[in-house]
Amino acid sequence: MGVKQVFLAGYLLIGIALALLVLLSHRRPTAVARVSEMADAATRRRLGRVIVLVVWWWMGWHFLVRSA
Amino acid sequence: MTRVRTGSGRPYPRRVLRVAVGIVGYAAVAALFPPFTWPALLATVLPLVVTGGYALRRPARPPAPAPSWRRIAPWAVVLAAGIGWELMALFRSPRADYPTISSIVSPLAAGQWWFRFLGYLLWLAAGTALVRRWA
Repeated sequence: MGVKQVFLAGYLLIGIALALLVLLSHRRPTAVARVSEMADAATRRRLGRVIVLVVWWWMGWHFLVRSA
Repeated sequence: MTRVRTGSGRPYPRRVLRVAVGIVGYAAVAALFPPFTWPALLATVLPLVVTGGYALRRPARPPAPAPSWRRIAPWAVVLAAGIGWELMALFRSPRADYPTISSIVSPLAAGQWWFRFLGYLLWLAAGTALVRRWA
Protein backbone atom coordinates (compact mmCIF):
# COMPACT_ATOMS: atom_id res chain seq x y z
CA MET A 1 0.00 0.00 0.00
CA GLY A 2 1.53 3.30 -1.10
CA VAL A 3 1.51 6.60 0.77
CA LYS A 4 -1.32 7.94 -1.39
CA GLN A 5 -3.51 4.95 -0.58
CA VAL A 6 -2.81 5.40 3.16
CA PHE A 7 -3.95 9.01 3.01
CA LEU A 8 -7.03 8.16 0.97
CA ALA A 9 -7.90 5.40 3.44
CA GLY A 10 -7.53 7.92 6.25
CA TYR A 11 -10.00 10.30 4.62
CA LEU A 12 -12.41 7.42 4.07
CA LEU A 13 -12.19 6.39 7.74
CA ILE A 14 -12.87 9.94 8.88
CA GLY A 15 -15.87 10.14 6.54
CA ILE A 16 -17.21 6.86 7.93
CA ALA A 17 -16.65 8.09 11.49
CA LEU A 18 -18.63 11.26 10.75
CA ALA A 19 -21.48 9.24 9.22
CA LEU A 20 -21.51 6.98 12.29
CA LEU A 21 -21.68 10.00 14.55
CA VAL A 22 -24.70 11.32 12.63
CA LEU A 23 -26.37 7.94 13.04
CA LEU A 24 -25.48 7.73 16.74
CA SER A 25 -26.74 11.25 17.37
CA HIS A 26 -30.20 10.13 16.27
CA ARG A 27 -30.11 6.70 17.92
CA ARG A 28 -28.54 7.83 21.18
CA PRO A 29 -29.12 11.57 21.50
CA THR A 30 -28.04 11.57 25.16
CA ALA A 31 -24.55 10.40 24.16
CA VAL A 32 -23.87 12.41 20.98
CA ALA A 33 -25.18 15.85 20.09
CA ARG A 34 -27.08 16.28 16.84
CA VAL A 35 -25.65 18.50 14.13
CA SER A 36 -28.73 20.72 14.43
CA GLU A 37 -28.11 21.23 18.16
CA MET A 38 -24.51 22.25 17.55
CA ALA A 39 -25.58 24.55 14.72
CA ASP A 40 -28.12 26.17 17.05
CA ALA A 41 -25.50 26.62 19.75
CA ALA A 42 -22.98 28.10 17.33
CA THR A 43 -25.52 30.52 15.88
CA ARG A 44 -27.15 31.80 19.08
CA ARG A 45 -25.59 35.22 18.56
CA ARG A 46 -25.36 37.31 15.43
CA LEU A 47 -21.54 36.99 15.30
CA GLY A 48 -21.86 33.20 15.41
CA ARG A 49 -24.39 33.27 12.58
CA VAL A 50 -22.11 35.45 10.48
CA ILE A 51 -19.08 33.21 11.12
CA VAL A 52 -21.03 30.05 10.29
CA LEU A 53 -22.35 31.69 7.15
CA VAL A 54 -18.91 32.78 6.00
CA VAL A 55 -17.56 29.26 6.59
CA TRP A 56 -20.51 27.83 4.67
CA TRP A 57 -19.95 30.22 1.76
CA TRP A 58 -16.21 29.58 1.75
CA MET A 59 -16.82 25.81 1.46
CA GLY A 60 -18.95 26.36 -1.63
CA TRP A 61 -16.54 28.86 -3.15
CA HIS A 62 -13.44 26.78 -2.44
CA PHE A 63 -14.73 23.49 -3.86
CA LEU A 64 -17.05 24.70 -6.60
CA VAL A 65 -15.63 27.98 -7.89
CA ARG A 66 -11.93 27.75 -7.13
CA SER A 67 -11.42 24.25 -8.57
CA ALA A 68 -8.84 23.72 -11.28
CA MET B 1 -51.27 26.37 4.49
CA THR B 2 -51.90 24.59 1.18
CA ARG B 3 -50.59 21.07 1.17
CA VAL B 4 -49.83 18.83 -1.78
CA ARG B 5 -50.39 15.07 -1.48
CA THR B 6 -47.39 13.03 -2.62
CA GLY B 7 -47.58 9.46 -3.95
CA SER B 8 -47.21 8.10 -0.41
CA GLY B 9 -50.09 10.26 0.72
CA ARG B 10 -47.85 12.37 2.98
CA PRO B 11 -48.70 16.03 2.67
CA TYR B 12 -45.99 18.61 2.10
CA PRO B 13 -46.49 22.33 2.16
CA ARG B 14 -46.29 23.92 -1.27
CA ARG B 15 -43.56 26.17 0.10
CA VAL B 16 -41.30 23.17 0.76
CA LEU B 17 -41.83 21.91 -2.77
CA ARG B 18 -41.16 25.36 -4.23
CA VAL B 19 -37.90 25.67 -2.25
CA ALA B 20 -36.81 22.15 -3.25
CA VAL B 21 -37.53 22.80 -6.93
CA GLY B 22 -35.77 26.14 -6.67
CA ILE B 23 -32.67 24.57 -5.17
CA VAL B 24 -32.51 21.83 -7.79
CA GLY B 25 -33.00 24.34 -10.60
CA TYR B 26 -30.43 26.76 -9.19
CA ALA B 27 -27.89 23.95 -8.72
CA ALA B 28 -28.44 22.74 -12.28
CA VAL B 29 -27.82 26.20 -13.73
CA ALA B 30 -24.92 27.06 -11.42
CA ALA B 31 -23.19 23.79 -12.29
CA LEU B 32 -23.08 24.89 -15.93
CA PHE B 33 -20.57 27.60 -15.08
CA PRO B 34 -16.94 26.44 -15.19
CA PRO B 35 -14.78 27.17 -12.13
CA PHE B 36 -12.70 30.34 -12.01
CA THR B 37 -15.32 32.32 -13.92
CA TRP B 38 -17.40 35.35 -12.86
CA PRO B 39 -20.73 33.52 -13.31
CA ALA B 40 -19.49 30.73 -11.03
CA LEU B 41 -18.49 33.28 -8.40
CA LEU B 42 -21.82 35.08 -8.67
CA ALA B 43 -23.59 31.72 -8.32
CA THR B 44 -22.15 31.45 -4.81
CA VAL B 45 -22.50 35.14 -3.92
CA LEU B 46 -26.23 35.30 -4.57
CA PRO B 47 -27.14 32.62 -1.97
CA LEU B 48 -24.73 34.32 0.44
CA VAL B 49 -26.63 37.59 0.09
CA VAL B 50 -29.97 35.84 0.67
CA THR B 51 -28.78 33.88 3.70
CA GLY B 52 -26.90 36.90 5.01
CA GLY B 53 -30.16 38.76 5.37
CA TYR B 54 -31.47 36.05 7.66
CA ALA B 55 -28.22 35.84 9.61
CA LEU B 56 -28.17 39.53 10.43
CA ARG B 57 -31.66 39.80 11.82
CA ARG B 58 -32.93 38.42 15.12
CA PRO B 59 -34.13 34.78 14.76
CA ALA B 60 -37.86 34.22 15.00
CA ARG B 61 -37.44 31.51 17.65
CA PRO B 62 -35.52 31.69 20.93
CA PRO B 63 -32.30 29.63 20.91
CA ALA B 64 -32.46 26.09 22.25
CA PRO B 65 -30.20 25.09 25.18
CA ALA B 66 -26.65 24.32 24.06
CA PRO B 67 -25.59 20.64 24.18
CA SER B 68 -23.09 19.60 26.86
CA TRP B 69 -19.39 19.36 26.07
CA ARG B 70 -19.58 15.63 26.79
CA ARG B 71 -22.01 15.20 23.88
CA ILE B 72 -19.97 17.44 21.59
CA ALA B 73 -16.66 15.69 22.42
CA PRO B 74 -17.01 12.81 19.90
CA TRP B 75 -17.47 15.35 17.09
CA ALA B 76 -14.48 17.37 18.30
CA VAL B 77 -12.28 14.27 18.30
CA VAL B 78 -13.24 13.19 14.77
CA LEU B 79 -13.02 16.73 13.36
CA ALA B 80 -9.63 17.26 14.99
CA ALA B 81 -8.44 13.99 13.47
CA GLY B 82 -9.72 15.09 10.06
CA ILE B 83 -8.07 18.50 10.28
CA GLY B 84 -4.83 16.94 11.46
CA TRP B 85 -4.89 14.44 8.61
CA GLU B 86 -5.49 17.19 6.06
CA LEU B 87 -2.72 19.35 7.51
CA MET B 88 -0.31 16.43 7.40
CA ALA B 89 -1.00 16.09 3.68
CA LEU B 90 -0.97 19.83 3.07
CA PHE B 91 2.57 20.33 4.39
CA ARG B 92 4.04 17.41 2.47
CA SER B 93 4.84 16.93 -1.20
CA PRO B 94 4.43 15.83 -3.90
CA ARG B 95 0.68 16.39 -3.89
CA ALA B 96 0.17 13.19 -5.92
CA ASP B 97 1.46 11.17 -2.97
CA TYR B 98 -0.05 13.37 -0.24
CA PRO B 99 -3.53 14.27 -1.46
CA THR B 100 -5.59 16.94 0.25
CA ILE B 101 -9.38 17.06 0.02
CA SER B 102 -9.07 19.92 -2.48
CA SER B 103 -6.70 17.98 -4.71
CA ILE B 104 -9.12 15.04 -4.70
CA VAL B 105 -12.23 17.13 -5.36
CA SER B 106 -10.84 19.76 -7.75
CA PRO B 107 -10.39 17.66 -10.89
CA LEU B 108 -13.95 16.34 -10.56
CA ALA B 109 -15.41 19.78 -9.84
CA ALA B 110 -13.47 21.33 -12.72
CA GLY B 111 -14.49 18.83 -15.37
CA GLN B 112 -17.76 17.14 -14.40
CA TRP B 113 -21.13 18.94 -14.46
CA TRP B 114 -22.80 16.21 -12.43
CA PHE B 115 -20.23 16.60 -9.63
CA ARG B 116 -20.70 20.36 -9.49
CA PHE B 117 -24.48 19.84 -9.56
CA LEU B 118 -24.32 17.48 -6.56
CA GLY B 119 -21.93 19.85 -4.84
CA TYR B 120 -24.25 22.84 -5.32
CA LEU B 121 -27.23 20.73 -4.22
CA LEU B 122 -25.53 19.76 -0.96
CA TRP B 123 -24.22 23.28 -0.40
CA LEU B 124 -27.58 24.93 -1.03
CA ALA B 125 -29.37 22.32 1.10
CA ALA B 126 -26.99 23.10 3.98
CA GLY B 127 -27.62 26.82 3.52
CA THR B 128 -31.38 26.27 3.46
CA ALA B 129 -31.16 24.19 6.65
CA LEU B 130 -29.33 27.06 8.33
CA VAL B 131 -31.81 29.69 7.18
CA ARG B 132 -34.76 27.58 8.34
CA ARG B 133 -33.41 27.74 11.86
CA TRP B 134 -33.14 31.53 11.73
CA ALA B 135 -36.28 32.44 9.82
